[in-house]
Amino acid sequence: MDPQVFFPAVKTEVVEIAQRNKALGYRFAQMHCVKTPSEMFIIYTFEKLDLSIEQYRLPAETDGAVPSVSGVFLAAVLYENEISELYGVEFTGLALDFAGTLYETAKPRAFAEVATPVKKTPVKKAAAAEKTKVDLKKPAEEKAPINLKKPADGGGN
Amino acid sequence: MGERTIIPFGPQHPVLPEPLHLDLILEDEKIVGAVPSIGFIHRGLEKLVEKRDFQEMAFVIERICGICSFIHGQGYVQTIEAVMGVEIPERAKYLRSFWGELSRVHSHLLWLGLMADAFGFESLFMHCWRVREKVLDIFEETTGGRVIFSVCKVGGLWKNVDGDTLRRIGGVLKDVDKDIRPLADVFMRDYTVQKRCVGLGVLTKEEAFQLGAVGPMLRASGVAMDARKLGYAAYGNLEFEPVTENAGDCQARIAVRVREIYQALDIMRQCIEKMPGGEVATTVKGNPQGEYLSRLEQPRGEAVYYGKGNGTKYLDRFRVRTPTFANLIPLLHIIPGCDLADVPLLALTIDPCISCTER
Repeated sequence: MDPQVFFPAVKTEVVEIAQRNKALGYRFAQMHCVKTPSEMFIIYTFEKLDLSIEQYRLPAETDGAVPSVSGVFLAAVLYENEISELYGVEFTGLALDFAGTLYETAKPRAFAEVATPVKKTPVKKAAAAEKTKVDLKKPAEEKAPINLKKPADGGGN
Repeated sequence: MGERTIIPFGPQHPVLPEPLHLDLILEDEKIVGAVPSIGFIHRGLEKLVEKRDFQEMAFVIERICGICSFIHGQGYVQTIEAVMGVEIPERAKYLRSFWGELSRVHSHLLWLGLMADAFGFESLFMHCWRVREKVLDIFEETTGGRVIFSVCKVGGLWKNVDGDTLRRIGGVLKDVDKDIRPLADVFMRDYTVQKRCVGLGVLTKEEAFQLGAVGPMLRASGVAMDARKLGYAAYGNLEFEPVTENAGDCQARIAVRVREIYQALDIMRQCIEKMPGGEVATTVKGNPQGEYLSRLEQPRGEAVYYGKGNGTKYLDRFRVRTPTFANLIPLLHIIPGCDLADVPLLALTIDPCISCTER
């Protein structure tokens, strides 16, 4: 597939970009935040009736402030609240501010730290096989029969 | 001005398949505002992508939701394939389209049943879910699962379906078509259904477009946007047009979903007729490096998938924008002005999938 274009944007222009796209017949499709060890940015996607899209990349930082586009596109309000809650980016001028209660994660700003990949401990095949090996010559252990007359532990008055 | 009361709706409610909370602001019986509250089943699945091998993540992404699971899996692998420049075999594209449309039939029948239950038509609900069982049986036969299928992988598919099985399934789908017709007649023509749904929750064409509505919620207002027209998988070779209605009310959304079931059955017939031979997977080497945003048409509407790789087997980011997330704001727009008793129908009219919304 052809590589996609992400136009660079700056904070002071983001509302103007939204207004310009609205005038050109675009609507707000989605926005999301990306945080890597080396950078953090917000992607805005606008789409038209013919399914064509325009995308913008805005550098951002946790505890930084970005003007909200919810005054232009009300649809952006949930996305901005989500980014604010999960990444700690503040959006100024939000049409509806959930004040951190949209998801109410146990850990605040849960997506703001980049996770460390889980390193799997290699399992030695022979050792694993030894543990689960069944000795067919040894008879199965006899289990005590269940006494149906005796009540189960903790039950009954 | 009447006295204002706040009535909570959800998160547990008989009509809600998943938890969603609305604080309904009422003046007498009329609703004047609604404030949503979600987050009951937020699992942070997008965050998990940083810690899991990108090949394994396909199994996690399709577990975002049980109803939309196939297309979530397809969206994920399609995005990663675009990042890596992988071209999958033609047969895999057709099978993905086939299973995608089968998901659409399954999802719409499920929703029609829930909607019937919401307006008190229990026998109609049971008939819809009875017919749905045939669709789930097809899933089980072809993929091994009724809810989670695990057939999509980066590079194609894990499973193939032979020609004889496909032809026999074609016959089953004709039976499904016959079974749905009397139910569709009830949804489209029954007096009690019309009385309940016509004129309820009207969303105009301009409102639907500007508020970001997607899927049947958008098309029922007369906007012909369908992400399948982008031509992903085999859709570029299949003949179909977006199903639209103009009234923008609950009845129009029912009509769109009923007609989309027939459209999906026709698309599956085309897939079976045009299915090419050959393999269903290609070998994938290396790790994703780069970013891509792809869009697919879930039964509920356009879903957006964004993936960013850094050359290792762990992705930097995977983002899923689900259709219900986009339809929540239009829902808040259509609720004011309606009666309290209409809220369950309105909540269901967007076909809410809260598991998808919160991920």
